[in-house]
Amino acid sequence: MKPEQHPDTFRPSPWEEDLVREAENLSTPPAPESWQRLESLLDSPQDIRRRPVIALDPKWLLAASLAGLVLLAWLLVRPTATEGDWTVQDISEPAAGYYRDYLAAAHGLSGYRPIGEGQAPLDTRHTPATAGEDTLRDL
Amino acid sequence: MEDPHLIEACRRGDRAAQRRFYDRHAPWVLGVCRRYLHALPEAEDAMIRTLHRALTRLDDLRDARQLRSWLRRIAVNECLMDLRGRKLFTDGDVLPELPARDGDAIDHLAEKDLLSLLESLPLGYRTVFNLYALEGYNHREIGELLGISLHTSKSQFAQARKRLAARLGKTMLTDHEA
Repeated sequence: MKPEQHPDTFRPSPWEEDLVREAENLSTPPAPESWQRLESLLDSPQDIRRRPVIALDPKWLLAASLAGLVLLAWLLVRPTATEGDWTVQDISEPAAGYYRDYLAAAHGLSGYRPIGEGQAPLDTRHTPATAGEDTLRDL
Repeated sequence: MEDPHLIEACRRGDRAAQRRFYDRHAPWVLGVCRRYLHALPEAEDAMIRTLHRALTRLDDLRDARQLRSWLRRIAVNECLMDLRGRKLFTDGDVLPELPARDGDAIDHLAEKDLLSLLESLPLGYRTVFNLYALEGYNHREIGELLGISLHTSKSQFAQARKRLAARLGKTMLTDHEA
């Protein structure tokens, strides 16, 4: 023990000093086969292994695999824009707002109205067209 | 053979020198490991890993006079790696209080008595006590090593001292008495 390394609070009692001294001198003869084990490690250092800190539970591996498959399936079947379609990324705001306002004013599509003072923002959520109703795809 | 020459021979891969290095240092390295790891087989594993690491990285040792402290640091790291993931600080209240020993017998503690005394401490207490009182780490460093707060380290150490004092029938110096 090096008391100068303890600037905080440790004030060892005499019995603690004795205890620490004894503990520092603790020495245990190793098992006879320990040298052979060390020697074999020295001969083949790649054999050194440590018990894994976290054992991989097969249940968790299975759950992670299933979650991966579900994610992959979703990525494959999710709706994506086809070539030629407008996407949100294609129209910058506020250009998108003007474009929608223009279409709404020109064609009177349901759900689209020019934004005026005191009016709520446009509802841009998708509403399925009913029979006979114009949609953006008809334009 | 003195340590500098022995170390040089070990660096060259001299197997006989490595055996002498092992004979000279394995018992006390195992002593260090047993202070941290309860089971002897685990302590032996840590000792072997320590000596393997030391013998294969002797180039990292700049000053042969620092060999013991260098080995001790490796041994402590190996033991802490083994302790990682264990619940260090939850089993403190399940051990029964053991009867106090008579008189001032610490000077004459046999190895097994000393080990049993340290092993009577809950794992967290023992680890913090070892790191603080024997290895010379401060509480901030212990906090970083074990992933605990400075306050937890201090309280674990205080509890360890109380337990040891009770076990040995001793009293502790308070800060104002020292």
